[in-house]
Amino acid sequence: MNRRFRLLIGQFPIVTAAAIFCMATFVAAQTFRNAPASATQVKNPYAGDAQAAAGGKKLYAQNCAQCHGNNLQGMGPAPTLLSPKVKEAKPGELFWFITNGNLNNGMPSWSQLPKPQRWQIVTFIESKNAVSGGSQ
Amino acid sequence: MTNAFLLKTFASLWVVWLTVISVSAGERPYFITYDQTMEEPGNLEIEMKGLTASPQDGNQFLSGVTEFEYGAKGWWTTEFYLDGQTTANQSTIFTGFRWKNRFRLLMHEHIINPVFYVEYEDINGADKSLMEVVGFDSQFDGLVPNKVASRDREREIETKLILSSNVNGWNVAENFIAEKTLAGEPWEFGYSAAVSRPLSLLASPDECTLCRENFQAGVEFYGGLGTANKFTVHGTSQYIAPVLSWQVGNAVFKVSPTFGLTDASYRAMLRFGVQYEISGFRRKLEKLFR
Repeated sequence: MNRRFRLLIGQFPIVTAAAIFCMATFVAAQTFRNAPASATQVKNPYAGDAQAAAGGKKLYAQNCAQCHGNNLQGMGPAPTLLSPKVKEAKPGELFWFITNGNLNNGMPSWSQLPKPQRWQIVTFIESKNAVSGGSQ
Repeated sequence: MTNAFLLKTFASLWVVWLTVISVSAGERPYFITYDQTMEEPGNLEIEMKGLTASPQDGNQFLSGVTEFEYGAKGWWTTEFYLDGQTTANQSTIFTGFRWKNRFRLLMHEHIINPVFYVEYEDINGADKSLMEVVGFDSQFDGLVPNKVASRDREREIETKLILSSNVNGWNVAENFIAEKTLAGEPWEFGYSAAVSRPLSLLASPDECTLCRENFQAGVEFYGGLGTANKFTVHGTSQYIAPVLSWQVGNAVFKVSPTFGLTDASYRAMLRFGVQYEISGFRRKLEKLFR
């Protein structure tokens, strides 16, 4: 019994290290809102385009502000879009999430907006996060 | 009389427009065809649709439908309709109600997005809203005087399989319709298909009324496909209808001149509509009762 217990204790650091490694791999592989890995590779065609961001601001006000707030601060169950999570998300992941939504949790799909307009919204959100530093 | 009624209708629509609260962009210009777009959860959209036509050997009529569309879930939209019509030299009557539900079958976007639709309607024979064309529906149905037609009550279940795709700014939608009266008559079939696109895929940086992105144009096709006993297009009504929508500030106006392609069809009709959306309707209602 004692020998078996000692064996278990001896294996503890190995098991712990393996568990930490698995968790780290899992966290590293996780994408924003479970977007497919392919979405991370998609580039924003309007990245850094001030005109596109201005158009995105208008689209945001029409479609998104009612839930996420005029200043992206979040309202009720709709989260803030100035969080570190959003700031760290790849443009393609944000685009994927806007396109698909999360229908079970209240985020509608915005696929009815033309692709360029969805990218304009991504550009606007990114520009706001660049200004705010995503610290909120 | 008809002109005065039309004037009143347009005046009412104008008042509705002035009280508009908020409408999302990207609303399709269709009157008959559904695409995969669902109402945003917790929002209530109110829409008024009108249709006017002059049947051959009949009186001109104007039908009106008021629609309340509520986003119950991201994947479930429920709608309640009230129908009525006025026929020149006859009467103005309430013709019944409809309760429609749409369910998105897949939670993510795909090349083709299927939606299941089920409707219960309790309308009378005088209904002229032509929200769908099935079986052997024809313009001659509209020749029966209101007094007589309204005695005929129709309780029906209607189902649709909606298939819709968004490709390069274009929306392509097909609806397959199967309708059954609860009185036991055979299944009636119909279809509608539509394609549309915004005039500009990019939003301009400035607020504007006449920007191309505020307009969506397209075309709808719809008609009957006979019944379970006689599945055919012969003797059915078939229509082609260019559609145009215009978003002005927070309101959306839609118009669709419609042309009949067969003898059973109305030769020409005009559909028009205005819609507005109460954003966060559920939240506002909850606040009221807190």
